[in-house]
Amino acid sequence: MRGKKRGTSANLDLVFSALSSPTRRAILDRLSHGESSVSELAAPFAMSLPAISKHLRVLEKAEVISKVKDGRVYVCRLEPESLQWAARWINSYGALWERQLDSLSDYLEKEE
Amino acid sequence: MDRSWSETVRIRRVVPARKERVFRAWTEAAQVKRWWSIGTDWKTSFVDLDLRVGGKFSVGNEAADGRPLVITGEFLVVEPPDKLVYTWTFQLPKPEETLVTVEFRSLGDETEVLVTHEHSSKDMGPSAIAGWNASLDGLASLLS
Repeated sequence: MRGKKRGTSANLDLVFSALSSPTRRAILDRLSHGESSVSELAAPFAMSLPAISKHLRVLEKAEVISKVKDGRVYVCRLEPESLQWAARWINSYGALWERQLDSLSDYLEKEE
Repeated sequence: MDRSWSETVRIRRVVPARKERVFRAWTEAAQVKRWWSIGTDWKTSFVDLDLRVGGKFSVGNEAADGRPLVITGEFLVVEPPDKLVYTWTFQLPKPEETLVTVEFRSLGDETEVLVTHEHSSKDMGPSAIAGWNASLDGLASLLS
């Protein structure tokens, strides 16, 4: 499954949305230690395999993971490039000013 | 300034106060120190500023691990309470001077703040300040 071109605004939307779930972040955390089969990934969660697969599809669409068939099982692997684009955005001047203006807004509200 | 900037960031935000008050919050050192925040893990250690054309400012920032980072600049345009233009340089081993324009537009009890940040290199500035190479660890700690 191919998502949006990496680093584009549309891909960043998919990445940040993919990261907005504790389950998916836990899956990424697990994959940052090495590739893993779908059933291995599902094991720590009190969730059905289809439910986990749904999360994996979201991650795949954002291109932060890839899934390849290895014999009879699917193996998932982290694709760090999309995350690096997301990190680059977080570290950009745009994100810096978003934080600054959040903070200014809070300050102005509090001091009113 | 006769420099060309290849990268421009524009941010627009409506903040809940009248224009004059927002301008003061932006330009009085004691107030700046209270809201300035370059990141959740950073503290603002000092703010010095001399608000006049040609006046300088410096802002001290300190990371959670004690790493200091100073931002310096010079005011090029000071038009209270409407507009500021100033240079902005992270004091890093290879400092890059950038240009910030801030415009304040009155919306009655609220104010629209427009920030335009012009710089010439994609990879300098905030990505350099964090001091990490866009790693998953860094991203995770920023998002958690």
